[in-house]
Amino acid sequence: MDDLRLGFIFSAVFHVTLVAVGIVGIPALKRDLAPLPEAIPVELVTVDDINRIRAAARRAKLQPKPQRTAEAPPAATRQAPDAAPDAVPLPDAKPAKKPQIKPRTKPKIMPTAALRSKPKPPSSLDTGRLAALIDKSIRETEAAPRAPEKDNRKRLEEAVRSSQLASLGARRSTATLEAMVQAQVERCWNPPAGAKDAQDLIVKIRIWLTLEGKLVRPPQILGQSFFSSAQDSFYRVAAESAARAVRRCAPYTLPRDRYDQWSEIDLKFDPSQMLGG
Amino acid sequence: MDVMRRHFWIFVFLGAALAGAAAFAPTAHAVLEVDITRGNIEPLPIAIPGLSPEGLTDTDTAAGTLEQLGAKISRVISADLERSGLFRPIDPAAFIRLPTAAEVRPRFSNWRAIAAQALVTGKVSLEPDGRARIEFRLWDVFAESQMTGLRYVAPPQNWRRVAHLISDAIYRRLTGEAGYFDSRIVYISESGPKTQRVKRLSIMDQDGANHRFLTSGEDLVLTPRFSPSRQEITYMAYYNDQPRVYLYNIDTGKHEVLGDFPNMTFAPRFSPDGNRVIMSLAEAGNSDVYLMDLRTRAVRRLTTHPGIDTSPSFSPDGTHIVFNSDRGGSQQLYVMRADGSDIHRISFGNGRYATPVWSPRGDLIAFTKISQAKFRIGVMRQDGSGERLLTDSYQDEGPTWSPNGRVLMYFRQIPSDAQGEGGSTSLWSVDLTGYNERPVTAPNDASDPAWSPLIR
Repeated sequence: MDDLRLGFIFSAVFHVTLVAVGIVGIPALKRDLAPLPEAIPVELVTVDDINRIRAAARRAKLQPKPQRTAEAPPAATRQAPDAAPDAVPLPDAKPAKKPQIKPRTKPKIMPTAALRSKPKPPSSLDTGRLAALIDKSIRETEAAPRAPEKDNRKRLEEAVRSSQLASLGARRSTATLEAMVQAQVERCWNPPAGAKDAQDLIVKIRIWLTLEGKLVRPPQILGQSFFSSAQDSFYRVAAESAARAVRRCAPYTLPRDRYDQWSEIDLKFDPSQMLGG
Repeated sequence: MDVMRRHFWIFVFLGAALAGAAAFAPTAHAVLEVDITRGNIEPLPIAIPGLSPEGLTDTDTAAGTLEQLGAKISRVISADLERSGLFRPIDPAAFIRLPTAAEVRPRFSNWRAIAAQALVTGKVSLEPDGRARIEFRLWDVFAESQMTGLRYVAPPQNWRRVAHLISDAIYRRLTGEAGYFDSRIVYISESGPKTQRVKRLSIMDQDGANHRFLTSGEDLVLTPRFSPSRQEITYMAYYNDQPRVYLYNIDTGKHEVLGDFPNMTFAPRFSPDGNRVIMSLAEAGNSDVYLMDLRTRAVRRLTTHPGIDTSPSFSPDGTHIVFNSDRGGSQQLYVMRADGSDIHRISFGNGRYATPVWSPRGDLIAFTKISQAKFRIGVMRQDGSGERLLTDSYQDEGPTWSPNGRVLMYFRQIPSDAQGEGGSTSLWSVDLTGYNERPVTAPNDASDPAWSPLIR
């Protein structure tokens, strides 16, 4: 009897595992099978965006000019050929050797980081409000999907009859969602230009959003361990530019009825198309 | 009983299975994945309010009151960063509220409101011994966090250097790359009429400040080059109508002749360690590349071709040399090992190539390209691939790299008109993108610039 029971237990465990793998495994499999479409994002570039980019470019072109004129006056003083004796004589470059200047001319550099700044980010961030956002998001995820789920099921049942159509529709809808996120994030992203091999600095960031499209918590940078130390500072800069873009663009406007699909997003920032070549 | 027990276990396992599935499901649900491949290549908006005076704000220092000092420093930082083309300092008129010395953390919302992405705050105060204490903090406005913060103690009159050091620190933190603001330029200052041109060796800060003449102008001077490791220059001067290579130490002011060569010497340039000088020597109409050890003064010949080999420049790791030669029929770029072996041609475009210079970063070689009746500045990789022209004027030549290998300076000649008026020679800089091209301020006509390493 005991043997029998033991056998039964093992068999049950085995089957349950199989069932679990079945449940968990299939969505993962599906994800692999449906490659992310590439061409569709083009649809979402509106005239608005183009205008904004042009305006930004125009602004960028116009801006430097006043700065330059502001810098111009010193040129007059520079004209004086006898500037050399008084104004920080060149040998001061190695000030330690110059007697008339105290031996400590070479500026001492001491990191003051965090010494005085007593960072109080949590208080300024207002954790209370943050908690409320998190709570809300949970409540709303619980509440929201219930109703659409039924709709979805109905729709799915219908679609099962023509499975081809169904997969096409699903693909298109994620693609649209993707394009919406893309359009909103790209607007805010200033990739670091000019770094050595900048095109190879690909950054993956995960963000968590509330139903209002706000960030639930700071964006998380994924898998940065494979970068060599020489590229570390470049990678950090690239990662920071990505995180800044994500913060600048929040809150995001995305369809609420599909919150379950975008509550968590992995963004891959890849500058190779812009900077390569 | 048995049956019940069995059922009990079945329920337990089914329950566990459901619970397991429920627990796994959230992590297994597909996280939306989005590729961000397009962004805006535009300068980073940065706010640089004047450094706040601390203590007695109208205290007089050797460089004005503390308040003036703070304002001057931030203006130099703004100008440095703006010139790099990578930053857009925001007009101070847009600032909502200026930070004070007492404030530890800025009000980020005020800075986000004017679209600043980075913010520089800082303080200036006076030490009991009369030196200025200058500190700054760089903030990420959106992450609301401090990115870096440094303090400098220096005589107040050295405020410009401190400002450049701060610019370098900000640049390094925001681009991941060393800056180039705490550096200088030597160049040839030209004055007088065309027939009696006075050429003087001159030096100034990278931003045109602190200008100074190093030679009197009696002898003709040419091609100054900085040592990559020391504040030392080589240059050529005609003495009794004989060109010679000189060595000049900026700190000591000492000039010396590198050697009395019986023949013409041209285009001297330092090795990366600063201990050797590579140049070309002309003998019976043929010039070849030679290497001289500065300590032993021993000279070694590296090329032996009947063609004209000139303008050699070392790679920053010292293993290779790029030079130009007409051995293939026209003036082209060649790369060889530092011992003179394995010579191969790298430039194959239309036109001629001259004055190659290896980037201190090692990834590119800059050159002057002569084609379509124009002299233009370009870059290519060391295997000759990826050639790009960065300027497009009538006559740009003689590129020199910024210490971080991201900016090139060169000189531009504008021809005089039919009446012989309006011709000029001036210094210009352009970054590797080719978009950020700017004139460099110098008191007179200027040519042949050479960029120093960081002063340190």
